[in-house]
Amino acid sequence: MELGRQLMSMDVDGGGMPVDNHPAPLLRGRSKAIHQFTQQTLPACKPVLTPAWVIGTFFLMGVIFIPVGLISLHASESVNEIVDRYDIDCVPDTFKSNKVAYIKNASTPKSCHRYLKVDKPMKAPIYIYYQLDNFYQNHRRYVKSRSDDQLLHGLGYNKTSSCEPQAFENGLPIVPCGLVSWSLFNDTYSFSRGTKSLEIERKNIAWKSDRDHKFGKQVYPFNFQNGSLIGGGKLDTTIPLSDQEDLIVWMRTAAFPSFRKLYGRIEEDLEEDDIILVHLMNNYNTYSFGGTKMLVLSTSSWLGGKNSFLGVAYIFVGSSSILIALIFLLLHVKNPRPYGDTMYLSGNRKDISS
Amino acid sequence: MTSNPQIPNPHLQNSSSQSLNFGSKGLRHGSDSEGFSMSRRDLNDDDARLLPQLAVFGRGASILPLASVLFVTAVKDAYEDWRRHKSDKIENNRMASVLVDHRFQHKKWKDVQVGEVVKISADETIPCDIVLLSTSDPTGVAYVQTINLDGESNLKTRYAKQETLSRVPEKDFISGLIKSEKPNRNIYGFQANMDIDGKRVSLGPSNIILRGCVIKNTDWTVGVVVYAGRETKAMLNNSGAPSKRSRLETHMNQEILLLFFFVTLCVIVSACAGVWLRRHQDELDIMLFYRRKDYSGGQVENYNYYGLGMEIFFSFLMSVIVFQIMIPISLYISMELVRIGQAYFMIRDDKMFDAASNTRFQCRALNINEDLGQIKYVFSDKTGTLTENKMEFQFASISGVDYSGEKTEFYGEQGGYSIQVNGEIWRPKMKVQVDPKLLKLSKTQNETESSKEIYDFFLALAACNTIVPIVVNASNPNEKLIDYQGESPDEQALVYAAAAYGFMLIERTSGHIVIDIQGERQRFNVLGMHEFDSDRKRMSVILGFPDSTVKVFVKGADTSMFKIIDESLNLDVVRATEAHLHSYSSIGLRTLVVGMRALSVSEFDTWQTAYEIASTALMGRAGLLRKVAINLENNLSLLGASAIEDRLQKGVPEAIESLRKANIKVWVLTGDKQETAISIGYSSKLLTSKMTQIIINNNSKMSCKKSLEDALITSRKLINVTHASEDDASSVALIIDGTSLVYILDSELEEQLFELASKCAVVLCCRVAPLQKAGIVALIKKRTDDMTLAIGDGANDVSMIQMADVGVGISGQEGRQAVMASDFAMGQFRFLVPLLLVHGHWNYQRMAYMILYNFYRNALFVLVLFWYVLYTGFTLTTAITEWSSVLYSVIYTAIPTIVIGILDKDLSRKSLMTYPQLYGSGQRKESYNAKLFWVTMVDTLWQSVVAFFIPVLAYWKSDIDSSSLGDLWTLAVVFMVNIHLAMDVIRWTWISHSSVWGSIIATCICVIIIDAIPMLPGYWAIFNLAGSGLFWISLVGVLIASMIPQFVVKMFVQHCKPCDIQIAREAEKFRNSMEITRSGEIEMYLPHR
Repeated sequence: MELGRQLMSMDVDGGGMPVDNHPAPLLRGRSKAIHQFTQQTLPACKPVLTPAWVIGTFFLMGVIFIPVGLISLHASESVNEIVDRYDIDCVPDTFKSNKVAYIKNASTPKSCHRYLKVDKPMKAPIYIYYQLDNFYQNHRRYVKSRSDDQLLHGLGYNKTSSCEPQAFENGLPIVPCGLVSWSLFNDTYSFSRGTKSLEIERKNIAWKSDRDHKFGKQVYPFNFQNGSLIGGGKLDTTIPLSDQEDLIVWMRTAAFPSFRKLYGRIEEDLEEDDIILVHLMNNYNTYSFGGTKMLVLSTSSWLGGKNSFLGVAYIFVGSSSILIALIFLLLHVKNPRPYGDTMYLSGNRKDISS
Repeated sequence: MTSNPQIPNPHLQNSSSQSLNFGSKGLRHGSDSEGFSMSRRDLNDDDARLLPQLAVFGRGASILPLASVLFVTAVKDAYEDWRRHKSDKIENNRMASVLVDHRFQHKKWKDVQVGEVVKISADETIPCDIVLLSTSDPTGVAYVQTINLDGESNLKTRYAKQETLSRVPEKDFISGLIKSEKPNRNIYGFQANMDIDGKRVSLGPSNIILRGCVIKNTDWTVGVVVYAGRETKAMLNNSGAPSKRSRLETHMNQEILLLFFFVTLCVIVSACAGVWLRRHQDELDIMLFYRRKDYSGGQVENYNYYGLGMEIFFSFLMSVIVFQIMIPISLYISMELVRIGQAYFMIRDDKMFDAASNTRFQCRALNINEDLGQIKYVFSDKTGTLTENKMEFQFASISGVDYSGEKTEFYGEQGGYSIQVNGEIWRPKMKVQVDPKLLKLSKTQNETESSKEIYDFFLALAACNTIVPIVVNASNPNEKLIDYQGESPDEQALVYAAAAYGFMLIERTSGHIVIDIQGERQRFNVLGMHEFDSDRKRMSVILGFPDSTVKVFVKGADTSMFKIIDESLNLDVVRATEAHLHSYSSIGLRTLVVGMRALSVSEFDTWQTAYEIASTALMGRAGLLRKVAINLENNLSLLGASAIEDRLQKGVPEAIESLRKANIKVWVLTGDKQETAISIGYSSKLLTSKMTQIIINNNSKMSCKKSLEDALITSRKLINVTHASEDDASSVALIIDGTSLVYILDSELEEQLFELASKCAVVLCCRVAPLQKAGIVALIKKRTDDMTLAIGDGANDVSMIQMADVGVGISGQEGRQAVMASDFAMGQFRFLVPLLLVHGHWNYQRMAYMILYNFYRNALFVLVLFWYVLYTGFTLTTAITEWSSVLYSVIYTAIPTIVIGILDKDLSRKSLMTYPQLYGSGQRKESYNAKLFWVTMVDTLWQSVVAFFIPVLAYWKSDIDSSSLGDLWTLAVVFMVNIHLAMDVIRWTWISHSSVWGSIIATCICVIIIDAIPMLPGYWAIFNLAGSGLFWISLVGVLIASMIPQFVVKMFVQHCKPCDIQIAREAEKFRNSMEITRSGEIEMYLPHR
């Protein structure tokens, strides 16, 4: 087989072969480069895709993609997660038919207990996420309703028209303003295993860059959640925004209507068949728009959380590459085509056929 | 003379608008080319201000793309205007001599006013249309050359009126009033009258000299201006070059479907938004992420909500704004830039540099470059385009002896024949190559029989013509040059030839001629002359010799001459001459036969009486004279034959051959005689002896119809035969003359002519008027979709050049009108081959690819935005930052398409010149067609799905924020479009490398900069993202998975159905090695097997 007779090579086209009879002037250096440029004869590499190249490329892709896919799949498999939807179960039976009334009523008890069974051992750190579904944190009205300048500069910054309708309350500016902060998630969780409560690390859950540069160290919440309509959590007015990590996490708006946000970390390993008691305060109103709430405990791998999609996709792409390589190889062996034979040009084809 | 105050300032202005206007022109241009640009501007500027709902992007971000489009367009238009102004300025500032205060003073052309008296010297161009008052000739004759107007190079006579010709304007004060018709474009008609000295004199076309004509043979002429500036007939004929749009661009506009697609996206989004709002109607008031109600004020009211209908409408408008990238505004600007780049390379091409006239190729129109790659018909002028318009005496056959021996560079002794007159050396202006043997024989006078015949032959050449010798000063003070002026360039060539052999015509009056024969001045009485007419096809002159013998010399076309030659005198000579004539004409030379007869006294007397009666007859003078001539011109003895070459331009036959191979039909449209046209057809290899000629010369509509029908039948028959025999040499050539075309064009016969012409391999149209040339171009343009190109050099080609899709002007020796009207101008006809086959091909390929690629890259980005919108409650949120979406078409992806559009070459010049059939890819619209467009769109859809959904699924139910995902999409899309481009680049030079990889790097830098601004929501996202393995794995996955389908399709197409370009590209790459392997195969492979 003569597939790989030619590989890519550098060549200067048109350089030494003047078509007309006035020869290309002998030039040097700069003027030669300019001449090559204007005559469009700059040295160029012109790769031509030969069967060898094509088959080789696809084969190589297969060889690389399948192992990467397998590794990714393995990484995803190694992650264990516990997902628990609690928004319905945590509503007392009497309010089952009118969940909104329950959640809006400040006097009803909001506390709730959940038991989580650990199926597989989980190694620390175990990440605690809350997951909201059907919550459009990327809704246009929502994402625009914030003022990044105010988050950094506090009350000193007053061009907060973007925060409407949550910019002023009772004539006073709100810090932090806008729908995003107003709707701050405020369910709380605490965990215990057996009788011993599990320590939750709630620090360093937000990006360091946000804490350092985006949220002011001297900016304290002001006039927050003081209106007639309470959206979500309240903020401790003695803590500067840069340390309000729940707010910082919340303000990094999620990409999709189903999203998880980090709540904290458990720095202890969980053993198989451990029963975890979750004590939670079911404060956040997702009932009014049909949203759901879930609690997620998950370990992590180098590839993030539990998601086998990439691994499968890689294996699929890799194996189809190899398949294509094989088909093309077969095609080439069965039905080879002379490459670069000018006899096949359309003007000449007639002569061949007759 | 009184001037007419009603006639406006004649200041010339060719350019369409003044340079100060360019800004507004730019704006207009933008809106011309894309209706949406204005609405978009309005939306961003005005509506967005009124309706905060629509403020999708910040002000700066939204204004940037449009501003850059307008800026570049304005700069380009300003440059074009400036260039046009410059050429106008040259024309406007030429000097004319105008009578002011009884003195002729210099005045700029643009300041010449109607009613002024101007004086023009010999060889000067007329600045405006003037009525002749007087000339240097006492009889008031002026000779003018009208080549700029109608392409005819012969001299025409114009007359001053009897009443004015003796007046000297500097001294006499003359006053009069000219009443003329309104300015019009008829160059052959003029009606006016002049009141002078109380008399009314009528003026006609013979009294007016039009702008652009050149005064010849007349020392000076004085005339009064009747039309100036834009009102001159030349300018009126020249005005309003229709603006041309490239075929590709028009096709591109047909992809209005893309706009349909765009509107569909917007409708889908707004409809879904409506449904979503409707479904959540009851929840919206306090919904955490919607909050319809505003509770902050006293009473609760809707915040930013104007009812469902308005919300749907707003979402439609917003989607228009968000998806605006789809609208090919950036495409228009890229196309403009690419065209400038392509024009630069065409101009700088050394292969299209005419060293003889030191002119480079000129790109006068900047928007039809790519049409050069799709030409199917070339309409060419003959004189000055195919030929150099310089006749040259080549061979002679004298009394059966062929003097076509080898020519020497040596022009006789001491650089040509010369004579001494009063101590001055007189020599002919043009040197002619001579045959040394003939030269030697011609010097030995009357010694032998053959030298006697040579004497008569050259005497005939020198005498039997209407040439006027004019003595002009040479650079050397002791030298004078004799310039032979006359209507026929053939006669000029013959007289120059006679002079070179020692028979120098020195003087001609109506009564006698003086010829210097080998240094001896001889005076001959011209007793009579029968001028050339198309029935006889010959002319004769009756000379009285010094020894009072009388001879008649006749010169004419071979067909008419052999009839009147007395063959009995010397049959061998006649046969030999016929053979020579055949061989001359077969190499494309124009032949003339010369005969002579001595007249006896009685014969002469008979003729003279008849001649005098005929020439004084009042009725039917021409017919009578012809009869007299026919009676005289018989029983001639054959002197010989001459062969003149209307020298073809260098490389014309090769060029025509290449064009023919490239499947381009070459039609020649000429004002010349049919015989000349056919002979040039042969010499330029347009016609071959194997072709069947269909000749249509008719004088009525009925006969035209009949001959067309006959011709159609013949051609059908022939084509059937051709198909059967597979021999394309037996093709059909159609030769048709202007008179027939008068009856055919603009009548129902057009259809038949078109059918016939499209069957013919070659079409030659002779004796066609300028407007007929345009009519023929229109004939093709109206009926086919094929691209037409017209090429010509004279003012008579202007209408054709403007009519054709592409007009090419030859910057010939005379006249610039053709160049002014053209889209491209060049020095030589043969440059048409590199222009079409090389540059045209490249331009087409590049532009076609660029358009497709631009659709792809814009649609890809918009689709990725669109998919995301489906996940945001249809609210037009973009995960990709607004700055990235603005910079996408300005920085991230703009440069490589332009650079590749200018620099990429699919094939080398050598391949394209070697295999002209490669040009067919443009004619077949292989690089841009509806199929390719839709295939690209399907690929775009796939790529957008991959680019969007792989990250979505990879990050599903994770804590990813929208800014990070937006960065991932930005990078993925930008990498994808650049890699897609990289995969299609054929020739990688360092410039293409740096532009493609450079813009990827630039994108990364921009994303990093945007993410380093704390005030943007996406602060630091890219850094957090780049630290995770998931990001890299998804990015690589996206890139590979998106490219696989198009790569696979490309591979299979290349393998199974390779196109010409693909084959030629492989050939280019493998040719050398293939030749080596073919020879070395046996030795190399045998030992292994």
